[in-house]
Amino acid sequence: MEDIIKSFHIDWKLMMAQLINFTIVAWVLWRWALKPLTKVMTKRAEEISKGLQDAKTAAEGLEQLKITKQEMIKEAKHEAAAIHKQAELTAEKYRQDTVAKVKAEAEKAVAEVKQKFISEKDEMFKEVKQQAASLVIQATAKVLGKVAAPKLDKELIEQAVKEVVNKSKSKNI
Amino acid sequence: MSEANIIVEQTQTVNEQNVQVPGADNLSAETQVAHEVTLFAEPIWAFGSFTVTNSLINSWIVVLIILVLAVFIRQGLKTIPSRFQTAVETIVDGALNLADSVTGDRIKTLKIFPLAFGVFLFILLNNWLGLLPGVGSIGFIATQGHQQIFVPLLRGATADFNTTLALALMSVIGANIFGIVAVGAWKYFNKFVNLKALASIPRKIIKEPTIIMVNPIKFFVGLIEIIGEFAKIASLSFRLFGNIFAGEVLLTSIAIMIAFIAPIPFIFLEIIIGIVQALIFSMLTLVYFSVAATAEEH
Repeated sequence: MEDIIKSFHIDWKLMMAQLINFTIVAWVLWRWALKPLTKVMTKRAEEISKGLQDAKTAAEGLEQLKITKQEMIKEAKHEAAAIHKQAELTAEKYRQDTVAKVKAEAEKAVAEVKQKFISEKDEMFKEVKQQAASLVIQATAKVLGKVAAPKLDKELIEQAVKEVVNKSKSKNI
Repeated sequence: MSEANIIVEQTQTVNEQNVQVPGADNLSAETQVAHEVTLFAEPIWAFGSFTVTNSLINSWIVVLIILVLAVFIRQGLKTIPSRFQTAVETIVDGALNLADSVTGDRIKTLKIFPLAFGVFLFILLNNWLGLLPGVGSIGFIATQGHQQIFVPLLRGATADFNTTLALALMSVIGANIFGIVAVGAWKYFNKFVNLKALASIPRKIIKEPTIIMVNPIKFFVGLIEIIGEFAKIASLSFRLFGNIFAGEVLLTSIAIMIAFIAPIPFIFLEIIIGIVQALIFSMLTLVYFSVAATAEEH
């Protein structure tokens, strides 16, 4: 032991000095370098993992949103189609109604006009008949002069006129 | 270190046994200066009873370098790392993973790591600083008795047994203290003086008769562990000192034979040895701490 101490110059003071040196090194490294460095590294690792998690969540949300959008579009299309169909149906019904109404009105008008025409025609015939009768009477009176039996004559004439009218009626109608 | 007239030798004592260059008798004492690589670090100054050796100066330089480095790291620390910080982080992260493979537990690693990494960096820088040109070759000539001796101003601190012994003592004693704190004083004491094993013989002997053979063996194994602790100190300190000192001797020897080009491969070899020895020392420290903290279970 003595030999070793002598040949290597072992000196406890020097050893203490070296130990103090090392202690300074270890403390400084730990306090100023390793501790804050590991803190920063841990913090960054946490931040990165959080960021990745957030990105994942965001991507999932986006995917969900896309699906929702698609569904909404689909639904809207469906609704639009339904509305369109409904509108078409309504329009068709309306058109048919209108057509029917117009037709009915037209028919009514036509019927009215016909009625009017018939009545006017009847009236006209009546008038014509009367006038024709009086004309014939007058004419016959003129031709025959003062006929003895106007009553007989009138009967004759009326019969003749009736025949004529009937003839014309059958011709006209 | 590249002086042509360096003599490599093993000096047994400080004062007398310096072997001179052959033919030195013909020369006068004034012209002859002994250059040698001594086993010990040469004293440079003395403050009272405290001698400052050249290896201590080197050690102070290392402390200064690490101080500056630590401050530099501290200042430039950012969440988004600079190139320098990335490099430092890569090293620290690699070291942490390596330490994890030894301890097998990140929490335990973080307890021991600052010390182990400090050991690594301190030894590494000391080893490499001893390789720098000028370390070991710049110095002054001191007169000792009738002789003149070249005394280098700087010497690799790990090429001084005082440094390696101090580190080894710190490592082994530190590991034991760590073990006591981690597993408890009584349990830790029983690792070496296994009273528990002896005490449990009467209790268990009926169930397991073999215990009368096994537990005394356990007791003696515990006693051997005590010797093992001293062996750890010796192996740690002598391994580091031997490797680094041998490296310096080797480089000096090569430089004496061929001063140019030839030492270059050996310098590279010494760079590798420097990092390997630092790694071995720090890994062993880590292992000692880690083992001390595990409760012995058989």
